[in-house]
Amino acid sequence: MTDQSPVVEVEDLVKRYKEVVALDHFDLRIAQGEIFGLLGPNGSGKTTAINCILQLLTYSKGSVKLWGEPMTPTSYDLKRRIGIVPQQVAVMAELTVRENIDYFCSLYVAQAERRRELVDQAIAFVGLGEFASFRPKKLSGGLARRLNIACGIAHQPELIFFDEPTVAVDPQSRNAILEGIRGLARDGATIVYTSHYMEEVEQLCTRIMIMDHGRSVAVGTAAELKAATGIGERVEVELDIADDAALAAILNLPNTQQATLEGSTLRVDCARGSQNLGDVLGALDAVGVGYGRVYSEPPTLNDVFLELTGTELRD
Amino acid sequence: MNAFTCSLKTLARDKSTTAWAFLFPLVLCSLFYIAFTGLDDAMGQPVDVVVVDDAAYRAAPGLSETVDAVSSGDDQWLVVKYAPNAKEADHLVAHGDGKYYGYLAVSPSGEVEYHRDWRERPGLDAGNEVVAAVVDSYLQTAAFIAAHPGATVAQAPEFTKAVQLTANPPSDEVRYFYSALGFATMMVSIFATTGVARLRSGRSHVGARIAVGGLPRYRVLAPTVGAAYVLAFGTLVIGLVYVRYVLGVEFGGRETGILAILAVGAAATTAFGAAVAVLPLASGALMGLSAGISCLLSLFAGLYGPGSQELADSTAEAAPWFTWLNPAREMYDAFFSVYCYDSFDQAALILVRLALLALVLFGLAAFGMRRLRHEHI
Ligand SMILES: Nc1ncnc2c1ncn2[C@@H]1O[C@H](COP(=O)(O)OP(=O)(O)O)[C@@H](O)[C@H]1O
Ligand SMILES: [Mg+2]
Repeated sequence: MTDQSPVVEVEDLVKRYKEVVALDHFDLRIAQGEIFGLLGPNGSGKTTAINCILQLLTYSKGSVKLWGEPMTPTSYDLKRRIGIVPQQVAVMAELTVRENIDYFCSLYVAQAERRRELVDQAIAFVGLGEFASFRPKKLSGGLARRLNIACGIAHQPELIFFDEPTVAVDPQSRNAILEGIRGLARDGATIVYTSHYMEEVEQLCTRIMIMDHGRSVAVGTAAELKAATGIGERVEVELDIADDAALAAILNLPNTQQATLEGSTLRVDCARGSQNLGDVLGALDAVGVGYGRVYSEPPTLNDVFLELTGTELRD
Repeated sequence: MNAFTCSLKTLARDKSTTAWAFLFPLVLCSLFYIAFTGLDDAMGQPVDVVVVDDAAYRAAPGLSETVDAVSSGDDQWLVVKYAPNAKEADHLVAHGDGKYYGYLAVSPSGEVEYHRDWRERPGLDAGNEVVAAVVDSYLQTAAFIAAHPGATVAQAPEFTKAVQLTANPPSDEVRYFYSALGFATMMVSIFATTGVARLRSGRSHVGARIAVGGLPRYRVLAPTVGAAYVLAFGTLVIGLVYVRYVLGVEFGGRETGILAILAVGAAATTAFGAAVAVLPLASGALMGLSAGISCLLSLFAGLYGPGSQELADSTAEAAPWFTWLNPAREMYDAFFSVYCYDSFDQAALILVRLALLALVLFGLAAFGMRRLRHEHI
C-alpha cells in the first residue's frame, strides 16, 4: 500500500442477476479525499456496485481493491475503516436512536467510553439531540434517514458510502445532509455518493461518474463532463409575435443544434460557444422580430446524460 | 452497547417474539391450572367403589387385606361398599347417581377385575386411576405372597413400597405442568430464531449492515445466541417460579433437578432456534416455522395429553433415535426421571444427549451463518 494507491479501485467487474447484467465490465477509481458521485437512473447498477465492493454480493468477474489491498468478505481490517449508509434505512426497530448508533458503532469500536463520545458527536452531527430516546418508528422519514446516516458514520470511517441518502427527504433535511457530507470530507474522509438527482451530485461532488445499464458512461468533474459533450447553453426568448422567419434565421446560425417555436416561446439548444446569446438576439434583430424576456441556462448534467445515452435522466 | 446487550434488548422488546416465547406458555400453564386443579382435588379425595364380597374375593390371597388397608386410616384411598354378588354391585353402580366409580370383583378363575362406570363425571379418569393403582399394588403384593409361601400381607414390607414404587407418585397435575414446561422450552427457541435471522446478510438490511461491519462473524453470532439463551432460560425460570409459587404446584422437592433440565433443555432449543434461522426463508416465516416445529415435536413428546402420549410412545418404539432428536421428549423423560427416582443418573444421561444435540445444532447454525456474500440481497 502506497500513498498513491487509490482508496477504491475496481476493475472489470461483471455482476449478473440471472438474465439481468447489473454491472457490465465496470471500472472505478477513487482517490483519497474525493467526494465521488455515482450518478445514474434507477436500476443503473449503483447499489449493486457498492454491494460488490463491500463483498455483500458475489460477482462473476473482476477485482476490488481498497487502499491497494484486495477486498474479501473477511477483510475485517479494511472493513473497520469503512462506513456505509445503505439505501434502505437499516436500524433496529426495538432500539432508541442513541442505542442504535451505539450498537452499530460497537461493530467498530470496542471501548464503551470512547464510543460514548463518538455517539454524542454523531447525534450532534445529524441534529437528532432531542430525539435521542425515540424509537425509529416515531421518527419522520427525514429524521430516520439522518439516524441511518449517524449509524454509518459514528465510528469516524475513512471511506464512507452514501447510497441515495436524500431519497424521500424534505428539503430542510436534504440540505442538512449535504452540508454534513461536505463536513465529513473536510475532516478528511473519502466519500462515495450515489444519487439519481443530478443537481445534488453537481453541487456536492468533486468528481462524477455517469452510469447507465451497469456501465460507466463518462467520468470527470461536472465542468469536464459538460465540456466533453460539446453542449452549450439553452436560450429561451419570449417573442412579441410567433414568426416562422425568426425560427428559420435561428436555425441558420452555425451553433444552433436544435430550435423550436412553441406559441411565441423560442427555445434554442446551442453548441458550446462564447457568443451564443448574442448571436441569437442578433439574428432576431436582423429579421426585425421584437422580444420580451430572455433566459439563458447553462447546460445541466441531464443534458450531458441525454447526449451520452439518448435517454432522460429524470424519472 | 455491545452485541450481547443489543440482542438482549431487541429480543426482549420484540413484541411478537416475547408473546410467543413468554406469554403463550405462561397462559398455557394458567389454563392447565384451571383445567386440572379440579382433577387434583379428585385425586385427594377417597374414591367410592363397590367390592363384590363373595367366595372368590375372599379366596384371593391378600386382596381383602389390601382393600382394608387402603380404605381406612389417614391415607384413605377408597371408600368401599360391599355387595354380595356382581349383579348387586352392577345395580349399585348403575343406580348410585354417579356416587360409585365402578366395582371390583374377582372372576371364578381368580383374576381381579375392575368394572368401571363409563358415565361422564368430573374427575372420572383420576378416580379410576386411583382404583387402578390399588389393583396394581395388590397384584404386586400377590406376587410377593406367591413367591414367599406363608407370608401374609402384614408381613410384606413391600406392600407399602409397592404402592409408592417411585419416590413421588406422579399426579396428573404435575404431569401436565411438566408437559407445559417441556412445551415452553420448545417455544423459547423463538428468541434464537428472531435474533439470528436478523443477522443474515442476504435477507435483512440490518444483517447486511452488520456483515459489512468490522466484527468477525463469530463475534456477532455468539453474543446473539448467548443473549437468546439467557432470555430463553430466564423465561423458563420465571415460568417455573410462577407454576411453583403463584399456582402453588408441588414438584416434590425436585426443583433443582428441574432447573438443571431447563438449563440444558433451553440450550438445546436455543440451538434449534438458531439452526432454523439459517434456513433460506423470509424472517417472518422462520418464526412461524420455529413455533410450528416446536408444537409438532411437543405432539410427538406426548405433551398434549393421553392421545398424544400414545402417539409419542408408539413413535419412540418404532424409531428410538427420533426421541433423541426431539428435545421436548427428552425433557419430558428427564423431568420424570428426576421426579420419580432418587438417583439423578438417568436424567444425567438424557442431559448429556441433549447437550450433544445442542452442540450439533449450534454447529449447523454457525455453518449456515458463515456465508457473507450472496447471489442477490
Ligand atoms: N435481487 C435482485 N434480483 C434481480 N435483479 C436485481 C436485484 N437487485 C437489483 N437487480 C437489478 O439490477 C440492476 C441494478 O440495480 P441496482 O444496483 O439496484 O440499481 P440502482 O441502485 O442504480 O438503482 C437493475 O436492473 C435491477 O433490476
Ligand atoms: Mg440503488
